[in-house]
Amino acid sequence: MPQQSAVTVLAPLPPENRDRVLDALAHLAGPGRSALAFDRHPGLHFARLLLVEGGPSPTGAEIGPSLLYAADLDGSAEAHLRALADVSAEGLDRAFGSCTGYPERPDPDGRTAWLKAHRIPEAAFYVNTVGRGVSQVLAEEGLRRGLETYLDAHRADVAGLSPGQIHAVLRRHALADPQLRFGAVPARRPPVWWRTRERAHLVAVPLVLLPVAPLILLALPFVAVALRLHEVRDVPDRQRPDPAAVERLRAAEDRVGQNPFAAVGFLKPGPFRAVLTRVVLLAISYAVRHVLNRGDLAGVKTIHFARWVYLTPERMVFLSAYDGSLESYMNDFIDKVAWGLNAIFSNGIGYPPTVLLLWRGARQEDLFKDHLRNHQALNQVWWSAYDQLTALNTGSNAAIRTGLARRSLSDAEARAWLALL
Amino acid sequence: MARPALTAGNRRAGLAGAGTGAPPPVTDSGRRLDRADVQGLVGSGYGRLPEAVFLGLQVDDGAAGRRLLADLLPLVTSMAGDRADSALNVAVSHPGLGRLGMPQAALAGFSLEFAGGMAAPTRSAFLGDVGEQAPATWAWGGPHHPRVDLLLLLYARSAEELTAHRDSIRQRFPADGVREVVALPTTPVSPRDHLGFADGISQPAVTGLHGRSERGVALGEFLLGYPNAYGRRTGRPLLPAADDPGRVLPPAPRADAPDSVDLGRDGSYLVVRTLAVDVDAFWSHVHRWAARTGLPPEQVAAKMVGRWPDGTSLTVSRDHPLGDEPVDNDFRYHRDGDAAGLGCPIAAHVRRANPRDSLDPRPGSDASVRVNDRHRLIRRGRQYGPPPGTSDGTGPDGERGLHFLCLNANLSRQFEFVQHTWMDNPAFAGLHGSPDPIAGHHPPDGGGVFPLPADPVRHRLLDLPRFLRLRGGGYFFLPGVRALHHLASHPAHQSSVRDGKDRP
Repeated sequence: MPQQSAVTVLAPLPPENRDRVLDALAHLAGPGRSALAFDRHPGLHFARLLLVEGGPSPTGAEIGPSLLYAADLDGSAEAHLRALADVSAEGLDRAFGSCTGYPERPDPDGRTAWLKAHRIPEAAFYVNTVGRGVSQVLAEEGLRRGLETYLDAHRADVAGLSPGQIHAVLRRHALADPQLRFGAVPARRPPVWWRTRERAHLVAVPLVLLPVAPLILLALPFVAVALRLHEVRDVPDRQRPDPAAVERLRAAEDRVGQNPFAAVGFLKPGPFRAVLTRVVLLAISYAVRHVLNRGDLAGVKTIHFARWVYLTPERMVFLSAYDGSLESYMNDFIDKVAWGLNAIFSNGIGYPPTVLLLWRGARQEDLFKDHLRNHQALNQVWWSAYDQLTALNTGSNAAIRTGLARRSLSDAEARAWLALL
Repeated sequence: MARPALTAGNRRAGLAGAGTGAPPPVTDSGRRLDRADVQGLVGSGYGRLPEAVFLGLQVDDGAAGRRLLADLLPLVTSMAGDRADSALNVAVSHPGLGRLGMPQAALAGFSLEFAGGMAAPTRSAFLGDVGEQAPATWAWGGPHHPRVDLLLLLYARSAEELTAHRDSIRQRFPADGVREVVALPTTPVSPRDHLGFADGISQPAVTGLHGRSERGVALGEFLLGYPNAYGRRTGRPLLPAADDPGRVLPPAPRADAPDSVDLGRDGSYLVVRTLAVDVDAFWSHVHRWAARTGLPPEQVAAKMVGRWPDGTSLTVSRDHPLGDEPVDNDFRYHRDGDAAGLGCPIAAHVRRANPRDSLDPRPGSDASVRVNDRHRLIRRGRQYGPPPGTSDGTGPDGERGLHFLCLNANLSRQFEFVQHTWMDNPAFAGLHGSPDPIAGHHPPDGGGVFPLPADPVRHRLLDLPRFLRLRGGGYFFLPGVRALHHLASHPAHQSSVRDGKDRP
């Protein structure tokens, strides 16, 4: 049972090369799709390339454009970079060839070294279901299809049986079919060392914080006042999104069951917001690692992976892979987890006004949706290993396998299990 | 240019005739609904006027268009005058607003979806209007057809009266500058649709729409200018007060924009989609799967629709229609024991058009209903074409279907969301590869699947064809009555002056 990793590579490029890179990305998204060979990386869930536009920062510094590669994958990030430098060499050279310092005569070792040198850390990384690898997702979809096909043909034969007996019939069928046999065995649990480490981390963080807890409690009222003072001075963005820009984004959306999302923005200036953002990201990291790691990001069940990354100390990017349309994604945010969105994104310039970090903010639907569109970036290249499967689909497929792997089910259990098919 | 006479006498004309010869006076705080400012279609589908025809007009000359609009104003039916013997409502497309002289700044205040239009490539892709449903194949409203700038919706008590009503309106069309480019006839209102099912049962209750006692979805979900489900006023065009010298339009709330008037107030977005329905294909599919599953054909059809033909919900009565009048529509799927869809399948048409308490957060809870209610539509459709023959509609006897009309304040969160994320989404509510059994875009290779939950093990209907074919459509704006007056009187030179930027 593989653990999931994130890779983020950020490569600056000379501004005069921007259009050349865009051309290369258009080629790699279209006729030259095979050059990146993402399908030849077995544990790769999602991968994308996007051009992060340059421009002036709020403090006046000029930021150049850069090319960003992000991947969600099974196993180690380093191994993925090595494989990429070899298997995806042609596409890599084409995409990054115009970036500053890319090897003139690239070979696998040179590329790997360059990629590693440009790798940047994720401040927080959300995985829908920790441990569920690509091969498991694909195999369990095949299992569901196999069982559905069997039921389509044999429903009349089994309809007179009890639910528990039907489970037994389906289990026998799976065991007899080499393609489905794996489904009669439960998915492997994470290794003991990994579970021990996670448990240790789960406990250690509160233990370390415990001695300073009184200090934190004492400081909270002062932090709240300082926060309010910052909030009333914040200037929300009233800009409506540019229709042409929205049209460009829309043209790339909703082609398959999932969409990649990317948003880029500057943090509100000053040390207060800088520290607050760090603290919130640490809290998110802890929560997604130990609590929100079973198919549910605080009420939103459509996100496969998500990450927050510092591009510079004052500029962040948020990336995710989600099911359905951006409209439904934004509605989920507003209706189900507005407080969570506010906690992190209200540290970005132009966010709809918040009250004490968690309140209002995204609940101002029109302002929030405009803000998101204004900060959204186009993913010029995007790849998914299972682009028609929603997170709910993969979860229910896994539950089908879990039930099938049980030797027998009571009628009540079997009835609930059969409802998954 | 003909301007409506601003006489007090006309204001009460709603009771006598259709009546909005003068703009209703701007009243009070703007919190309460001013029925005289809302076109009648918002409040009712004119069920007591069984005959209807919809006329699409192209405006080539803005002045002629405004003149026609001014001539039609006395006939426009408001909610205050919806007891008349005939009715006329007027909707305008985004290009139509431009033709009538709306300045660019005002046009930019409308929603992006409306501005782009239903036939825009990104909207077509999103709504599933591709392949043989694509705008290029439509009978009206597509890229190869004349623009529909104005849509006139005419209603009357009988066929004769509708003809007279239509002729009296056509007489007002100017000889030049405005052309009728499409006429969409309808069949008289019937309790059943072409598939034989009671239609239009679930309409949202809207707070304050029909009086103070009505409680339900926020008024701002359907009418611009009022707080919506998030307590905010949906984006809409606000004009500088100077652009409204006659003080026809209501003032905009100061918080939104000081010294502005509200062109959107009391208006709503009108979605029109002409959907041809293949009745024969539907019933032959039903009979085929009835034979395979051993279920009665009526039950298979009811499972796909989600209601029995008489409108009884399958959640209320699983095994047979109740024949109640009116039908019990106060049910919820989870609360009333149908979470798994053993009564009404999760994939059924009506359950995905309005899932009630089926979805997150916490299915079965009021919170679930609250989120659901941010995606409601007021439906005002009419059937067209000959009713199918009695023998399950065999024999091709001409195209028939539904002019689907619905009203909402936010096209993206309401109509488009329902169409894309609920109806046409193969993964709706955790399903696998199952778009709406009737309205969904099933893959042409016969991959359409309809899971029919049963105890202990489900049926699955396979190889679903497409029963509906989109024949035309468009996004329109159904302005408030005052906004119609403003459009009719808006002098063309004013916008050109503004474009010249030499206004103070």
